Amino acid sequence: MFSQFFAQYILNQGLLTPSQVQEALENRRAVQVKLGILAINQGFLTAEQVEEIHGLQQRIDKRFGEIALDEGYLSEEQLITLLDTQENDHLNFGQTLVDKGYMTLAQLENVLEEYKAEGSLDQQSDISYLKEQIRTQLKIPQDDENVELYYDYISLFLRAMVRFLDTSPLLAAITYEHDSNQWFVSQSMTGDITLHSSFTAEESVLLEIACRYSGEKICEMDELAIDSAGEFLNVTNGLFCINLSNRGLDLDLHPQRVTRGAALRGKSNYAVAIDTDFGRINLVMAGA
Amino acid sequence: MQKPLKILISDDSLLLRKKLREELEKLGCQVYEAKDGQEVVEAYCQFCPDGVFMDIVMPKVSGIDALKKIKEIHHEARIIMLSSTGTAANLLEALKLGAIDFIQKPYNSSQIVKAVNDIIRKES
Repeated sequence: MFSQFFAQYILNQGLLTPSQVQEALENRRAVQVKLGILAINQGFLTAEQVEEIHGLQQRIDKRFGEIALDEGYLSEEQLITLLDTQENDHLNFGQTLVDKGYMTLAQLENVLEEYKAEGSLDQQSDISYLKEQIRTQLKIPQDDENVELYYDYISLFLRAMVRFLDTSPLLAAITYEHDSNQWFVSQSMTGDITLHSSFTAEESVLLEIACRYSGEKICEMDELAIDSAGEFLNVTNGLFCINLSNRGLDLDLHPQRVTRGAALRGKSNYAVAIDTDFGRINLVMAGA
Repeated sequence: MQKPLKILISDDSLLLRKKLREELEKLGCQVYEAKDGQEVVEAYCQFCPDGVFMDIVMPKVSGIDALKKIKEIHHEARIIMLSSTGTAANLLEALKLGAIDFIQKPYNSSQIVKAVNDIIRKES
């Protein structure tokens, strides 16, 4: 899970010009990510070892993977892992940078390392203790084609709660029922797939979310409180879109809504209750 | 005395405008605000800012459409897009239309400092 798209990270760091980033983005889909970059990304090989194997390839008529095995740089298991790696947009972009000569392998290795260290939500908020709970408590029919997407979304939402609200969320085993007194914060994501996301909470809980997210002292449900609660969902959903973009799925975010008493409209709604030190949030999702 | 840098910020979020104004004023900038894509085009013509920070998802006129309009009015306009969806498609579209940077929300102070420096560099 990353908090920023790789190309954007490179642009923000001033490592390439906007026109170089634009050119590499336009060309990235036509590029095949080679084993060397896959191995660097996994941390199986250093850029120096990859360069050495490239040098050997010019003298020995063998493939990259065979030489890496012969030299003892990769194990068979590692090679299988690399060959099974699914397409990943940020690596396509990285390969394009190397192919175009905008970066050396060593520079790419460094920037990938920094990108992961700075942007990884997994490192910033470990919620591994909740992963099994998500699967057991969210009752989604396994034939629902978006089942994994819902699991991923909840997982990211929980991380966002740790990161932005400074709380330790816990899933509660209850069935969600609509309560018209609660506040309702919602946003739709449409594009290659559709996901409507929302959460409901009592006013005091929503106020606390607004305070914690904004870092401001907010005492009543005024414009800043409504805006801050909405921005929390907006930024969380933006991170989800980036992660899907890295998998080649493009989604657009629609403006978020914060109202009292509304409910999500969708074909099939899935909900989990999340307990925090300041009260309960009900996370409700629906597909197209 | 050097004239302060004039920066126009455009976002429908009151929170973001408040926080970004605070960041930019700390850097000595003179800040103007717009709440949507229509207002930002009008404000650009009125204030002739040195740079613009603009959200992508905004009511009335989107940030991308506002970027197009401002570039039609002033091709050299220095515009930095802000978005919670820094996807490949959004980034590519903004760069093609001439944005000089693209900042993912939530941003940090160093990204804003860098963006302001980019505006100054392009100006000089």
